[in-house]
Amino acid sequence: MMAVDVAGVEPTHHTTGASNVWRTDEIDYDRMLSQESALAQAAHVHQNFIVVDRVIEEEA
Amino acid sequence: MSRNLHQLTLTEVLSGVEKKQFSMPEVQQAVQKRMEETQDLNIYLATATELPEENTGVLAGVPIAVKDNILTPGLVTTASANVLRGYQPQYEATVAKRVREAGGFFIGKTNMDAWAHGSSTETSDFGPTKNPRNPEHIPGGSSGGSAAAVAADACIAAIGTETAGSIRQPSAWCGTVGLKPTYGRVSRAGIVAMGSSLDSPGPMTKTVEDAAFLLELMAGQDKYDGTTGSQPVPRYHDSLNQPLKGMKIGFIYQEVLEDSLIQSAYEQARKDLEKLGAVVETAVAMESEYAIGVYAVVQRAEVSSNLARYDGIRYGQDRSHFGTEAKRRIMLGTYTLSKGYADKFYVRAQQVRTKYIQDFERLFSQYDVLVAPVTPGFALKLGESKKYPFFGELIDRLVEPCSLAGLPGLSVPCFVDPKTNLTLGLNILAPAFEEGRMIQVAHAYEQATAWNPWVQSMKEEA
Repeated sequence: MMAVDVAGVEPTHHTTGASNVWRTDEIDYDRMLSQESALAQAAHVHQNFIVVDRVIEEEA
Repeated sequence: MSRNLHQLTLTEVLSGVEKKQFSMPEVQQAVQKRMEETQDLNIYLATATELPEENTGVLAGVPIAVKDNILTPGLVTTASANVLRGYQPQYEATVAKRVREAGGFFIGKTNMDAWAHGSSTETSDFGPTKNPRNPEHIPGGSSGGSAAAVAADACIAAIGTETAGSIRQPSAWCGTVGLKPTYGRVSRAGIVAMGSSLDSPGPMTKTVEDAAFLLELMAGQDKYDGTTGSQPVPRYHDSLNQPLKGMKIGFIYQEVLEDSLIQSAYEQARKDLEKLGAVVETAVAMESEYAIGVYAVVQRAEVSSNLARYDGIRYGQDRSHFGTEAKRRIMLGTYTLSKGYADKFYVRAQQVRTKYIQDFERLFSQYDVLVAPVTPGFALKLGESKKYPFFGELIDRLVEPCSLAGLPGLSVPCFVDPKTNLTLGLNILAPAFEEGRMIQVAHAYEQATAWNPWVQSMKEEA
């Protein structure tokens, strides 16, 4: 790969040439998960919140 | 009919049910029985426990095997990775939804390389799948389970995904048909992402006709995947039975084949295509070896970004469950994207990628389709692939250039070694969104040669 002459060659951004694909700025209710479904796979849940291990250490 | 129901092709099943020669529940039960008989091959990770209700869609309840990186609510989806062990999808992949709503019955989830990182199905966290044609050998990968399910008649048809070789290479090694569509032809929404600028889901089937049929159901724009093209989906069926007379075919990459047996197999394929009326010439493509590096860099960069979401907080197990290969790819991908190295590696890889795209534009200005070997050789023995740290990159080097260019490709069986029962595939390439051309060539070739056992059985009974 390092041996190929790439002088003046544009890097590829998208293979089939698509650019700036937009969607309308509105809520898609078909795509929303219920709270129950969104939490269904979490390892630890408490009162509809996901519980995570503490990552910040206490001051000594 | 002398064959059992599980041995039939998709087209045969649908026509037999329509003519009331047998019922779909009989087919479903026959396939389930076959799945039990072939358990030693380790094809399926999860299976449907109940038969579906009667289905009025075009697929009418036909049993379809689905690669385990495609989200299917009701069937555990893991991408063969321990991090996702036991994961219950909360939404459905677009491609699964389309096939299911057309009447497909998902009979089980097929084994693969963990996260699709591999070309052997040996890197699965749930054990390797064995090649049904010769269980001492690997099926290839990463869609090895889907290819093995088709080859073993443990499904009627299957769905796989390819980033660079993962549909075509296991299809070539299992003696089945695999179609990798143009990037953006089939939605990636709801598929465990690997290389997001490359991933393409596609059909894996017993015949080219079945692949054309399934692709038509899978393809099309999806509002949940902005990279899907708005091009209308053609009737791929219309491309079957079109004569090849006058079609210009460029034969590429023949110089890299492992030995004279394989050389002569591809030479024979070339002659067979000429006999069908095509004008076949040797075409010189940009060397495939640079694509090994380009693919390794681009894919790992994308992998390192995609795997960041598996934090074990919202779903799945924590990061300590990542296997060695995934960790390697995250490290290498992050390195190639880091300050000071991004221009040297990542941007350069994307520039060389542009060179490949330009090279294919040049070739397709001269030829209607390109034909190449899928692999330089046959399926390896179980365990052998682990000796090579870049096994996938090396074995898939003939499909990497076209994958990097986003082009479609179809693998059709073109040789069976009588000593080992192992197979080779012919890789038929077309310009972007011209899947019909490769279906046309592959179907004509499959009908005119004796390499596809399902086509042979159909001919014998006709």
